[in-house]
Amino acid sequence: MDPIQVFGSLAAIMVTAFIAARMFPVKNPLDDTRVRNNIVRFEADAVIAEILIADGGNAALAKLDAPAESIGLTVQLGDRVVCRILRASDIKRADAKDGKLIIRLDDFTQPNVTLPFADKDKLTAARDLVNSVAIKSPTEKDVSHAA
Amino acid sequence: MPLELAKPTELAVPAFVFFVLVEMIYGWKTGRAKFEGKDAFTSLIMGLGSTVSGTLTAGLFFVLSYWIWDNFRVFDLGAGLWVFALAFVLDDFAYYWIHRFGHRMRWMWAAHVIHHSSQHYNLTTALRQTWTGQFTPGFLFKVPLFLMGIEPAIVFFVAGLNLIYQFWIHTEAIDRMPRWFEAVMNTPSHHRVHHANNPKYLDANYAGVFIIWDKMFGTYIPEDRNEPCRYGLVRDLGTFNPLRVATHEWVGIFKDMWHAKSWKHKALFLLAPPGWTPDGSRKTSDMIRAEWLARQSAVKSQGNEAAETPVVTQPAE
Repeated sequence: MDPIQVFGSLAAIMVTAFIAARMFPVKNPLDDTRVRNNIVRFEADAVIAEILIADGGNAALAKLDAPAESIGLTVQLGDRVVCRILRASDIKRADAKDGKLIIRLDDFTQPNVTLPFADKDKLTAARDLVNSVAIKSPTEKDVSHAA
Repeated sequence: MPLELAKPTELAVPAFVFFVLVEMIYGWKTGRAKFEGKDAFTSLIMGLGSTVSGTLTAGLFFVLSYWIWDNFRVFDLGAGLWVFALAFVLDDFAYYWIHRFGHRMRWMWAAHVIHHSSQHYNLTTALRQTWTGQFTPGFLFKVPLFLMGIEPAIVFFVAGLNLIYQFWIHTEAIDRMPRWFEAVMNTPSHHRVHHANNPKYLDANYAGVFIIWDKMFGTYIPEDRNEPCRYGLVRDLGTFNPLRVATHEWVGIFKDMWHAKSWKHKALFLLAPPGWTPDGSRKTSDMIRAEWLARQSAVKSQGNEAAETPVVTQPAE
């Protein structure tokens, strides 16, 4: 393949993506309904007890009554939503500092998730929610790294 | 001396870009096509990367194909127009099986999953192609064509035409084609079903050009207006990073094989359907569909109002 063709294609890709971003701006942050709908879509048996949406609405945690010993995570990716049902073994580490909860997962397809909470009580609640899963079914890494 | 034929997909690139822009403007005006900047960027970068990676290994496959054709072909079919037509149909038949195995064998899914990893369904999705197809046994499905006596250059040429055909069916902007066309050809409606992750639609409509293969082999599911397609994977990717998009399933396979407790399990992590695990802790598409069907029949047996209408999966966000 001709290098000029490759660089020409790269330029065309960047222009096309830029146009797409301008014509179709991402508007809707997560709200309770979107989080609920998407978690149930992802895991039909999920029973949601409580939802904690991070400031800015880019990510949310859900306390679940079912499945047992798990929590729901939804992340806004572009204008779509990605869900995970997290169990102890899925959580590598979670750190609460500077008004943010950063969750590192044992999941190559899901980079670290940052949940900002200006409200300290909410941050504590989010941290406790993650800990509640990590502590219920502790693995070596969860015991040493969970927030 | 190998037949020298044009590379249809390379010639079609300007048309691809043009029609993506047309669909974008149409979607902006009507709301009947949806795009997202980062998603479109990732899809298009995957397309470029696929072309580059394909070019790097094309020589090897070219030589291998000609070696098979030179030494083992049963007939010498020549290069008449009818051979091109025959090759187009047979290549599409081979494509059906490559594609079917691409969904039913994790080794081949590792390459093909890239094409399904967008939660959008537009013309950029058509260009979201694998970088690693050459590391799967997909090539073997083309060998019978060479053995029959179809020259490899003709097979590669018609395979390019096949890919070009499949470009336009990646759209929500077209609802249904005329009935006769829907009956024989792959269309946007049929292919939306293929890209949907609703349990009802999983592992259906593998066709490239002719939908008749799905009808013949029992994998055809028509689009249901009461069940809007939701696109992407049953477990969507949380990243737009092209390197992760390209390699994530390979990483998963290597991890699973590394930790597998027996050689049988190692082999099955590679050869069984995606989602297979020895303990059933993850779900294959068959398991997801079975659970969905069980929920459907439970709703019906309860005899409540919901039984009058199908249980509709949550639509796209």
